[in-house]
Amino acid sequence: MFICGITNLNFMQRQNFVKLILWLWRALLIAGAVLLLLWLYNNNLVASGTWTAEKDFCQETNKSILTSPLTDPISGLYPADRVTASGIDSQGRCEQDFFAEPVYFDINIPRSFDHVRLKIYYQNTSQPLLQIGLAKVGQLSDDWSFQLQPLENQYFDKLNWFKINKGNITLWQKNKQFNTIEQFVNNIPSNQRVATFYYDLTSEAIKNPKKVIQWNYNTPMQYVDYVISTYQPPQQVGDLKFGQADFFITPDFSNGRQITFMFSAPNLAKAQQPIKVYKIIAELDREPSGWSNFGAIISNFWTSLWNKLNQ
Amino acid sequence: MMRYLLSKMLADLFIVTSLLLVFLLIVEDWHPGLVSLWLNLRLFLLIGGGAGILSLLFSQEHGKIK
Repeated sequence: MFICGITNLNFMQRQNFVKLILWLWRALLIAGAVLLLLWLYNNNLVASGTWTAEKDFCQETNKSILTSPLTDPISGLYPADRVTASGIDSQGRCEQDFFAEPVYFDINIPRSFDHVRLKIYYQNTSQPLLQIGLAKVGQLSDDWSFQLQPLENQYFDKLNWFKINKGNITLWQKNKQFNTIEQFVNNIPSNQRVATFYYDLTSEAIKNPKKVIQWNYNTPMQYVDYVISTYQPPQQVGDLKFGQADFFITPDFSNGRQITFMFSAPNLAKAQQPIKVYKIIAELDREPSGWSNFGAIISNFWTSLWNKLNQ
Repeated sequence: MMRYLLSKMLADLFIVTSLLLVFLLIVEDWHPGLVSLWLNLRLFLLIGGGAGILSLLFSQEHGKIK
């Protein structure tokens, strides 16, 4: 009917009709291009200040030729000689195993962020200590330095001592002497050994520095009377463990385009069981972009453009 | 006339996609990840290239508006 209608038009009418269609088409194309650029700008601006990336290790198995390698912002675990390829377990869940440490993964980020909370679903049967670290940028591969956080410490989880929790701080006592953490911190015994794990006691609080040690997996628990730590044990979710760790991303730890993490599990290579990672969720945040800091955003943009052009 | 119209529309699509692709490649070169984190540039190459070739094919036959 449409074609019949066109064929009934005279030459001038046809020409005008073709022109109209073409201008409408051009307007549509230009509007589409502008909308695409605005969408890209909005995605990279992260105006809300929070950005979440998730990896469930299924993407590797259904990768399309049209999918950009970077549209999966969280990379798989590497190097290849310490990990298995992503696969599917007996219950049909995607996962990736690592059997030697350290192993790394990267997160491609659209802009710089101040803080990241990592949430990790994993299975670990044999490794008593599992830690995760945020790597400094520009370090040599054999000289990396990390902000480490504990994911799981089975030495502490199995500790049958008196335990007091307050906020994210936990105190374990071999023999109960203190009722609160404040009491302990204000009266640290000078004749008994205190081990700290991701917790710093102030120098004023420590009466006998020789009796205060930083705990590591070689520390025999029989020589320790108290342990104080910010460690929180992972939650059990079905047959998986769920652990989380928070990191502050200072400029030393990010170039604004990528951040790198490391899993550390001492002596994993000697263990018979690998660690299976099922899901990684990264929640990144920064100051939201709004009219109040619009001037600063534009100024930062031009500064970075100017620095780039002068490189 | 339909072939002429189609040829012109595909030619426009080719031009817009090519300009967009060049711009996005410059942006990506300036800051790697700014584009490729969200889009696959190969898709633009496929759309633009396909439109260009089809436009040429149609323009071979349309001649003038009858």
